Amino acid sequence: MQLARVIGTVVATKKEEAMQGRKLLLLRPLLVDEANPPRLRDGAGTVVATDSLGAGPGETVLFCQGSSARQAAGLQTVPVDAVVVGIVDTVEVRHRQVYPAQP
Amino acid sequence: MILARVDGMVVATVSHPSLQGCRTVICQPLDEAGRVEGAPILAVDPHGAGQHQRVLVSSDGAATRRLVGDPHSPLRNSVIAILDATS
Repeated sequence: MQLARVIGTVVATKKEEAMQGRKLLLLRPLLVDEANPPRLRDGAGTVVATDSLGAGPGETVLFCQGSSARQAAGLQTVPVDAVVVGIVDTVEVRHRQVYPAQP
Repeated sequence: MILARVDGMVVATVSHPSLQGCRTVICQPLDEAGRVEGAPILAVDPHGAGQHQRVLVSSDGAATRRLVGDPHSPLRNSVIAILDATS
C-alpha cells in the first residue's frame, strides 16, 4: 500500500469488457522527503489505478498494487493491478502533520 | 497499470506455447504529460493497438494467463485498453 496524489483521469472507450464503467485515475506516488521530513515529495513512476471511492484530482489517496489490489470487492475478474483503497484525511510523520500541510 | 505508447511489435517463431497466435507489442511507459518514463516493456495485445497509440498496460499475471488461455503461462503484461484521452 502506498500514498499517492491524484494528478488526473484517464478515459478509454476500447477496453476489456470487465473494465466497463470503471473510473481510472492517474496517480503520482508520494514519499516522505528524507531531506525535509515534515513534507511529502513526488516519487518516481506514474500509476493508473481504478477507483470506486470517488477520489478526485488534487486529493491524496491510499492505493494497492499487485494481485492484492484485486482482493477488493468485485475486482476478481478485472485485469487491474492497482486500486485506490482509501482517501486520506491526515498523514503524520515524526509527530508532525504533513498532510494536509501545516503552515 | 501504466500509461504507455506502442513503439513496435515483436514476432517470435520459437516461443512458449502460450505465446502462439498472440500479438506482442513493445510499450514505452509515459508520464502524465506524455514524456518517456523508464524502460520499454513487452505486453500481449488482444485489442490490436497500432504504432504510436496510447494504451493502458496491466501487470496482472492472472488476467494475462486467462487471456492466453494457459494457466501455466509465464506472461504477465497485457494491454487492457486503448486510450482516448488523459487529463
